[in-house]
Amino acid sequence: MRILLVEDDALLGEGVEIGLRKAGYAVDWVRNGEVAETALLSEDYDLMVLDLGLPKKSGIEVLKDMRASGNKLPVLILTAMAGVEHRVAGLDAGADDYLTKPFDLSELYARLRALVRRNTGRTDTKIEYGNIQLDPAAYEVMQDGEKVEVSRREYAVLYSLLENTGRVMSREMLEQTMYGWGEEVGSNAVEVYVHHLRKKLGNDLIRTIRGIGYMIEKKQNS
Amino acid sequence: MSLKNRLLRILMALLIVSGSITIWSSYFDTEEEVRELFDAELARSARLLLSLSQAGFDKLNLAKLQAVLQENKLTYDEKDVYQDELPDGHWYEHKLLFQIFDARQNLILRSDNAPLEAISEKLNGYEDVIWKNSEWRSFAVWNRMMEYKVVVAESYEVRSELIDNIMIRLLVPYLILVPVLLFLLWWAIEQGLKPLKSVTDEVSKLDERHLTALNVDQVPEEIQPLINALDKLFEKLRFSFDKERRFSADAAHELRTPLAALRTHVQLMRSDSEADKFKNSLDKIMQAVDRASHVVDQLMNLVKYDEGSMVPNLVMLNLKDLSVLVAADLVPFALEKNIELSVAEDIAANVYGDESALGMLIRNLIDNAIRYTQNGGKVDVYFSKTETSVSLHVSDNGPGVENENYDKVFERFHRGEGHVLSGCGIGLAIVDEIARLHMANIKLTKPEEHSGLHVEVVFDI
Repeated sequence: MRILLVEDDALLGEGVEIGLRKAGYAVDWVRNGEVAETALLSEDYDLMVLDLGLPKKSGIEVLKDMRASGNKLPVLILTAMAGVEHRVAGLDAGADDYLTKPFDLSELYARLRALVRRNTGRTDTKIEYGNIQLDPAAYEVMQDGEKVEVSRREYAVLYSLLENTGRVMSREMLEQTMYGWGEEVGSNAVEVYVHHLRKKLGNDLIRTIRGIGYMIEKKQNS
Repeated sequence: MSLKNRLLRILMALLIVSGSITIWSSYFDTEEEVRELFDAELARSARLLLSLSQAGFDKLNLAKLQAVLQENKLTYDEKDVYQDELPDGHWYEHKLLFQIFDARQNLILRSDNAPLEAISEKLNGYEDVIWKNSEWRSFAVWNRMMEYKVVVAESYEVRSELIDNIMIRLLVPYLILVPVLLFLLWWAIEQGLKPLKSVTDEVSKLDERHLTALNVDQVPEEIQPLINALDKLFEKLRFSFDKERRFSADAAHELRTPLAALRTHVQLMRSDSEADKFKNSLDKIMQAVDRASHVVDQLMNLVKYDEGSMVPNLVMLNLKDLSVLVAADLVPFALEKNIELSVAEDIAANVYGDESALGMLIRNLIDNAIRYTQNGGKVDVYFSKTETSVSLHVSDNGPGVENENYDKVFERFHRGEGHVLSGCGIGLAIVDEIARLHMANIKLTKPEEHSGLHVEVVFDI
């Protein structure tokens, strides 16, 4: 997997380059917008990590120009500009995702993985969490190596909770993922599916945050 | 003194001075003209009498003539009813007299009201004399041969009455006109100063958040320079406000990249196999970096929601849904401290507000509650409604805040005592700004059942 990293700050650029290498990516690190464009023309990349405040040519311009020329490379913007308006501007210019400095390296990895997955349509990576294994290709859930029978709706809830460990998923968010699976959802349906999942997979897996939603806690060092 | 009063006073003084001068000079003019006219008539009647005397006195029985004159005198006395026209004459006749003398200064003929002695000592011409305690104008004339002298005299009362009447006729309309004129002037000044008032109204509409150019129609050219100067001043102010905001935003912004670099490198070190030796220090560095990032974020939020820099985009939104969204983000932080964070679901709390601003308000309240509550504590978010208001409540069972410090917590960089942890002291200042932006009130109390802090944000509906 080859990444083009465009970041003008030497300290940060070096850190991200090392981090990405460690995560198994081949990294080309360039420091300004013009060089980035040359690199895009001469090499094939799978991903691009783009800083917005660049010398010579700003990240937004680089992005707009490459989208105008038909380049569909997945781009994650790194920027010091917080605020919804900047985020919207970045996404409007053709970015696929957005990360605000300072950020967590593992968050960066996760976003990049999601970008690749979205871009290639590959959902065959199995998700492992403790003794539980979820196989998106087969809609299968395994616990301690044994298959656990779950309905499609229960599967949808479990999938989005496992995809977002450490984050609370509100009831609405979970309902939406179920709509995505082509089902009508009753008013307390989410509670029912969570209840079923707890029965099948154990009470400790899914945590209820009263009034807010459900979450599966992030496993340390995972 | 107001401009209006000042103008009114100046114009009033001018009016009175110019009026007085006009009346004073017309008095003298009139007096002069009346004198000329009456003196001429006096002389003419004297000359007529003289001519008659010269032509016929030698043939006349003077004594008889005098007797007839006495006989035909005005029957009314001078002190009688002051009535202009009497059946057989005019009472003014008392104010006219004549005397005729011969060459030896003997009185040979006189009008019925004239004295026996000469009224004027003067041989010839006009003289002002006092007779019977009043002023008279006399005129004496001799015929060429110095045979007869005629003296005609007229009381000054006749002249002064005429002058007085003329003056009264002049004064009365003037005295009536002055108040009318004053009122008209007052109205005219009012009208004339209207543009000034509209400029004042425009300026008073402005505050430091909205320093726009003045919008005044039909500006008189006298005020235009003032308006231009004000507009220029506003622009400078706006520029310097913007510059100050930009500076804070830029400074915070510039800090983010080095912080990101620091964080990245610490993370790289932590993932190294030899990191265990430095685990404690690395964790502390990470905490410090996160705290610095938090301060930077909060500074940027403060700049963003600071008075004047933000125009809220008001929409109807549900505080409960917003709280759920925000709280979801903060759950990991609460779990780190094993704090039970909950949002009550029973009431839909709809208010008009700016979604991102209110999200920031709720985030800061919850974040603050989590930060200052001990491990294993709890933070409750709930809502209440009255007929006129909707309230957001964030209540914790932490150490709370002393009553006397309730005001202080909203000051920038105020931090709860004894808390070395993570807070940067801007959170509640941001909450305060956002509440003000929504005209919401913040009430701090102690929760009823336990220690801690209960924050209520009351939105009027």
